[in-house]
Formats: sequence, structure tokens, C-alpha cells
Amino acid sequence: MIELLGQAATDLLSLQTILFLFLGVIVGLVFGVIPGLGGTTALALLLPLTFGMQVIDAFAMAGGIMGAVAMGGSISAILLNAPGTAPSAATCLDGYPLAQQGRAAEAIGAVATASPLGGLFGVLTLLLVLPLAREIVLLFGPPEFFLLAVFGIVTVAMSDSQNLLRGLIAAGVGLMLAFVGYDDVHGGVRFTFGSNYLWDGIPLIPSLVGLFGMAEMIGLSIKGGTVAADTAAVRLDGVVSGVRATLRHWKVVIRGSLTGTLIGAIPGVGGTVATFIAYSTTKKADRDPDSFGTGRIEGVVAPESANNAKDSGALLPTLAFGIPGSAEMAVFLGILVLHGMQPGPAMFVDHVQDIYGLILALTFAAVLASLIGLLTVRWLAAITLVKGQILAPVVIAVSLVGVYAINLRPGDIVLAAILGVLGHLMIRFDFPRLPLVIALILGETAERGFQQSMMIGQGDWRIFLHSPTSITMLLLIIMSLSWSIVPILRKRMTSS
Amino acid sequence: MVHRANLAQTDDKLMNKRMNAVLPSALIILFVIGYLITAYVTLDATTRRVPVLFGFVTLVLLAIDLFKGVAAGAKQSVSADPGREIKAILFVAGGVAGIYLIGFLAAIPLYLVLSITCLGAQPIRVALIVALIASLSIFLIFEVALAYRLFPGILFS
Repeated sequence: MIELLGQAATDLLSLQTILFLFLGVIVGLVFGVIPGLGGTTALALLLPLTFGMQVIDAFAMAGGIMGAVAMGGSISAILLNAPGTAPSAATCLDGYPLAQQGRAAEAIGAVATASPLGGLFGVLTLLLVLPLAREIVLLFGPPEFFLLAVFGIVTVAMSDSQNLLRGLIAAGVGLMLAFVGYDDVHGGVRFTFGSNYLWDGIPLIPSLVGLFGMAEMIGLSIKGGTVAADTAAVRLDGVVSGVRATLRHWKVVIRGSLTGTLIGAIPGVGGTVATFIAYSTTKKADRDPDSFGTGRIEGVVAPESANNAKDSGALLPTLAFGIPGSAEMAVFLGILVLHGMQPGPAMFVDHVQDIYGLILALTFAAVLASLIGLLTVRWLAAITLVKGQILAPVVIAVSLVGVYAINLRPGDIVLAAILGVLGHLMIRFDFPRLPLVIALILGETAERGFQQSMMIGQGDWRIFLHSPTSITMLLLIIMSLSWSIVPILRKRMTSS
Repeated sequence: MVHRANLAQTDDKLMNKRMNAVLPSALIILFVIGYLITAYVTLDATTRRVPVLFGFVTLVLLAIDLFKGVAAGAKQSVSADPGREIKAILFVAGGVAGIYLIGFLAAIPLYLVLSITCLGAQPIRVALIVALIASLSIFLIFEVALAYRLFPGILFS
């Protein structure tokens, strides 16, 4: 393996390949920063361009994009509360409050450290588990997928101990919205009211941009002032303390990276779930979980570690079975096919050196993107000093263009605006937005897993107890529920 | 007399707070009931099984939240300036309507100038400069560099 890695590194270190890697990183950063665009769009646009390239150059550029998009997405999540990419939405939760406190540079410093560390962890894990890839992916069938989706929703909904009930309500509404559109188990459409736009369901990116970015910008335009509440307190030199804080919270980095790699490897679940679960588990494991959401640096470190680690995880089912772990990987699959590679077990025999080249490209890209991010952080953090009355309409306008650019559907603009207003009202009436988003993402997986399991088990509920994996998932759900409910009950019993 | 007027004012405030606590839950309950009725009317038993299950669970949770809101009063913050809040929402709605009607390239500068001057109370000169830079950047990034055809609006398409 070391010999193959060495060979791949030699291929990657040619001037031409480094230039393609650098180009990929720049494109990835730009597409990551603009809300709504993201890695999938960048890869899709560059896919035809890779046709004439050598395989290693194409992989370097694709790896550059995938490795840098996370960093770019997190920069706009922290500075504007408008996640550039869907998985960066979790970074908004504590990153934006940090920016409001004038600690944007510290948050970006933490991102720039946690991101490559997560990427490195993911790559190392991938290298270790590649020989076992087939066995791991085959552990998950429909009952396990259903239980995993329930686990994701429950973990996130219960993460706000002050607002458990409203978290569960938001998750319930999110699930109900997730069932809008074509029912791919039984056929037919549901809750579309004759609208063709809703056939594909409620799209994720406009929902995220609306609920997080636009909602905050509406709030900012009402409130006035700047993103950073106290402009005198804005520290543009906090990068080093962000780096130090990340290294100090190395356990959070490992937990986040592990979550990212594991969840990223499960097809259809994706990076957004991985980052939110990494955030929730870190919050739950903390001694003071209620302080999360007010500007805790661990709330940035955890999702960022997961954000880059998930790419390595998602590569596993893509390369081993041709089952993309995310939309980004689906486009990457196109690049593989374009270069005459057939994903599957044979890929690990015929193109093993190219795979190692890609893994190294991902690693270098994460480090390079972080370096560029660190070099530009002082100027980027200055965005928090721009007046809200100017910043809010500009961000709303750019977000709407970005949202439209994904599928060129005018309906996406309307949806983002509606969810922006809904998000603003949710903030005002103290309903957490996170459970709604996570339920919207996982609703389809949960329903498909449930219906398929019931078909396999012929209506017998014991299908959810048929394997050690499903029993483990079930235990994790019970643990997650009791972790949140038991302390509240105990507190009430003590006070009564 | 003054004491009685103060009491009446406190009662009004409490009432407002309570309304604030129960209003969102009451509205979501209406939404869920509408959702369930639609499911029963338009879908067959197998297709509606999962949506209806989650609909009823959410309804129970909402009923508990409503009961809690009525019993304990409100903890929500009342908007400091409801007029400004409505204005901000209307500006977003107006921007989207503008994009829908006349397209991105015409609506965005207009939206930016109006938002920055009317809602943000900034000088017109600042608004014009920001609108020009932002619109030009959007045009160069999306139309020129990425070769997207930005939505021209239903009036021009």
C-alpha cells in the first residue's frame, strides 16, 4: 500500500497536476462561498472539461473542488449565516454567533484547522477500511436505513434540551413536508395540489438557503446594525486562537471526523446529516450543552471535522459499488465513467493507483484550501463590519440567484423566499429550525426503509430486530431519547 | 384610577404574550389538520400510511405545546417593531415578485436600491453604488463566466 501511495504521490506532484489541483481548489472555494452553488454544481460544470485530461489530472481537479468546497461553504456560513453548501449549515449554529461577537476570524481559523484534520482522518480511515469496504456497506439494508434515519432525526430534535417539544414538532412538520412529491415506493404523487414543481418534493438547497441564510438576513434588516454586534470588539487577528482551540479540542475533532466518515459512507444519507449529527453528539457530550448556539468554538470544530471527513466516507460506496454516497459523488461517478472506469470491486484491482491519487488529491486540496482561507481571513472577517441595511439585501439577492442557478427553476426562488419568512418566524417564536431540515432530508430515506422493511417482513415488526446492526441502531435511538428525557424527569422529581 | 389603568395594561400585555405563545401552535395545528384531510381525501390507504402516522404524532405534540402555552403563558419575545418586521418581509416578497415578473437583471438593481434606501434608510448614492457593483458581479459570474441564462421574467420570456 505504501509503495502505491508513493507512486500516486509522484504522479500528483507533477507541475501540470498541481496546477489542476490548484484550479480545482480555487473553483471549489468560489462555488463553496456562493450560497446555493456548491460542489455538485462545480463538478457538473467541469465534468465535460475533464474529458481530454489524463486521469490523474481529472482526479486532481475533482479532488481540489471536493476538498475546498467545504471550506468555502463554511466561510459564508460563519460570516453571513448563509451556508454556501448544505453540509455547512451546521456550522452556522455556532459560527454565526461567534461572528456576531466579533470572533469571525477565530471561527474561520478553527474551520481551517478542523477541516483538513477531518479530511486527513477520513483519508486514513478510508485507507484502513478499503479492503473491508464490501462487508461494511452490505451491513445496511432497508430496516437499518430506516432506523438510521430515525436515529438522525431523534438525535437532532432532542439536541436542544430547553426546547425538546418544539424540536420534535419541527421534526414532525419536516417529515410531513418530506412526503410531498412522488412516492417512489408505491408510485403516484402526494400533496402536490396539481403543481408540477412539487413532483420532485421540496428541494433541499432552496430550503436551506431560505431557512438559514434568508431568515437571518430578514432579521438583520429588521434589527439594523452589523453582523458583529459590537464593531469595536471585532478581532481580525483571532486566527491563531481558532487554530489553538481546535487542537485543544482534539477529542471533538476525532468524534466529528469519525461521524463524518461513517455517515458519509452510507448511500443516500449524505454529508448534511453527518455534520448535524456531529454537532448534536458534541453538544450532548458537553458539560454545558445549553451554551451551544451562543458561540461555542466546539460547535464549529465538530461539524467542520465531519464536513471534510465525509468525502472520504462517501468515496467508499461510490468506488466499491458504484452507489454514490451523495449528489456530489453521483457527479464524480460520471467523471469515473467518462474516463473509462467501471466502479465496483474490480476498480480496486484495475485502477488502484488512481484511487490512491484521488485520495491524496483530496488531502492536499483540504490543506491548500485551508491555507488560502487562512491567508484571506482578515479581509473576509471584515464583512461582519458592513452595515446590515446594505449587507442583507445583497446577500438575499445573491442567494436567490444561486438558488435559481442550481436547476434553473423559478419555483426555487419562491420556495427559498417562503422558507426564509418561515425561518424568520421560527426564530421569533422559538421553534428550532434544525430538526425541520434534518427531517426534510431524511424523511424519504425513512419512509422508503420502513415500507421496504414491512414488505420484506410481510408486515412483521420484528424485521427491525433481525440483525445485530439494526439492534445496535435501535439501542442508539433509545439511548439518545433517554439521554435527553431522563435528566429533565430527574430534575422535575427533585424539584417536586 | 391610575392603578386600575395600569392593571388593565398589564392584563393586555399578558394576553398578548399568551396569544404569542399559542398562536404558532394553533396555526400549525390548522396546517396539520389540512394535511391529514388532504391525505385521507386524495391518497389510498397504503400511500398515506406513513404521512398520516407522522401527522397524528405531530398533532399530539402540538396539542401538548398548546396546553403548555395556555397554562404557563408566553416566553416568546414580542417583536420590538412589528411594522418594520412586516415591511422587511414585504420587501423580500416584492423582490421575488419583481424577479418573477421582470427577471433577475432588471429586478435585482431595483430591489437593492429600494431596500437600501427605503428599508435601510441609507443615502441614495450608497444604494446606487452597491446595486451597480452587486448586479454587475452577478451578471459577470453567472451569465458570463458560468454561462447560465438568468431568468428573464415572465414578461420578457
